[in-house]
Amino acid sequence: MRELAGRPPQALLQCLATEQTPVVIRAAASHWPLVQASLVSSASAMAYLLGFYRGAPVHAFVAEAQHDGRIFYTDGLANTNFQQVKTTLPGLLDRIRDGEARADSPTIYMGSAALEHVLPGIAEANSWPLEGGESTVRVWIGNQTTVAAHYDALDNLAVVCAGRRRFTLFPPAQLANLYVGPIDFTPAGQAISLVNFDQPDFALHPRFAEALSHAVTAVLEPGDAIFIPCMWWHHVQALAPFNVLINHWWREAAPHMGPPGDALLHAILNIRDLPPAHRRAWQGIFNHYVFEPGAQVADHIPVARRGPLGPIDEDCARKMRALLRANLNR
Amino acid sequence: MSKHELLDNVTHRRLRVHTIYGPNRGYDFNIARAFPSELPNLQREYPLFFVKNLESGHFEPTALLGFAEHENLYLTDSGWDAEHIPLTVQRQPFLIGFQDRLLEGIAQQVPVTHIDVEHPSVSVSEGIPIFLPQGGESPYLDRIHSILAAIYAGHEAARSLSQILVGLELIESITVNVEFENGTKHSLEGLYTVNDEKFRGLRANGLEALHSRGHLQDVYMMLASLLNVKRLVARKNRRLSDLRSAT
Repeated sequence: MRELAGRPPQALLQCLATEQTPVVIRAAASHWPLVQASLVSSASAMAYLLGFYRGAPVHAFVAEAQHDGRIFYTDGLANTNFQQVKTTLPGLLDRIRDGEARADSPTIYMGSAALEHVLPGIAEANSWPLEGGESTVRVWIGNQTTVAAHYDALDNLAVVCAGRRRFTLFPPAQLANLYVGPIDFTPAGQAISLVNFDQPDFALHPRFAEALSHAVTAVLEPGDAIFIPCMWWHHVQALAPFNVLINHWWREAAPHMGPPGDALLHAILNIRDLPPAHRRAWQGIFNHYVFEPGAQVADHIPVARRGPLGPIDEDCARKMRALLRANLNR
Repeated sequence: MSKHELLDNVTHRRLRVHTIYGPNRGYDFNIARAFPSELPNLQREYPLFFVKNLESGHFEPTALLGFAEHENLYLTDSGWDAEHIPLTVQRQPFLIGFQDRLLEGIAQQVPVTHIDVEHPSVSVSEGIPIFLPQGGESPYLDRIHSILAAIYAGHEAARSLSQILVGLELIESITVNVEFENGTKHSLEGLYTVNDEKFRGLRANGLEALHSRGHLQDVYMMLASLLNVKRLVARKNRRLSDLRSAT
């Protein structure tokens, strides 16, 4: 993976987002107080975190030791292999501390919690302000865990603040080679690769060998940051008995734009099962209007009559939403 | 008996609800919880009291519908005999449930719609379908959702009303003694109301506190509704005389 050193200035982020290639930025956040505390000991990092805690409830995943920290499904994808528990930050840290002393400790993992909600005030010195677009800063705390390869529909700048994390990334086009599981029943919201990266079964998942030839990996230490471009598959292992990650997610999108995944679901429902000829025609129509929109789409229509084919303003988006909602409700 | 399930358009796709009020249809109860926003309408037809919620300790506005446990004097063979029906009656057989969810990274309890599948109004053969043919939400379910939303908002208003009345020491226990025309007497315990004398003796501070939170009107409504105890007794007397002429 490409590596840079030093703090990421705003201009660098812009450029990363435009390039859409993964980059590791070593020691980018080594000055953050949380990183400094974790370099002293996990106990001091925990104490630093608790100093900001005001009692917000948190959700955590708890899994038995036999799963080796892999946040996954039970056999036959019948269920998830973890329980979701509602706890507090001290409750979460107690469980991690209890586990630190034992060889076969249960997995405990709090993922994707809103940083300012759980630890009000900590963001000021332990995150980067992102300008423009939608953005959110999240915190991830747990012991040894493996989160299977998945994508997020946002650009991601993630910082290891305590412990170590190994990232394995694949370009978006590796979708077919990653044997992605259900889209409607997922461990944590995103569809995941069903390949066990620790012991790949190439008889079961032969195309995974091809995916591996496109993989890039990096192990991050406290203070290191990684830029994971939007839609890139990432398999993330937390390696230490105590790991904290803070990540920034953002995308340049107007507030009226919803999750692109909704449109995928809609298309699967309404287009995938059309007769092949109809589907091919729709493929052309989608290319024309959505994927390769050019001047030929609306230049011949008077500006005032372009509606959704012109630039979408808030009023136009509202009308489209109302129409879709009414059409869906049947 | 009741069995509450999270409503979904797969499990409950065939269910219908008949919305006709009548005896033995699941509405044979003698009190119905009410919320501040509906007091102006309810006070014209129902006697309103407070009932103490033993879990929260709050005093909750409640419409009295009858004198015995399963006696609902507003329920007739031709429907619910009143212009306004309490929201907690209208919501049946649905109720608000809560689910733990992580929304935008924030752990929270979100209200969700539950249905009592054992409620007598629920069947697969009678009444209005809950869902549209392809699983969409019927106009009936839309209306239920707005009723549940009003109840959800009402909980906060009711809490606020209870807190201020307790703070001003205006709540008093009351025993309602009534006598029917056949000579039987009945006495209702466990009800509370606003102490009229203390209320009239309130100084500017207390009145201002009630008024600024929008609860002054609630108190007037609760007090005015007490005249309806007489009308409820009259309903009971009509039932008794109907019973006599039937035998």
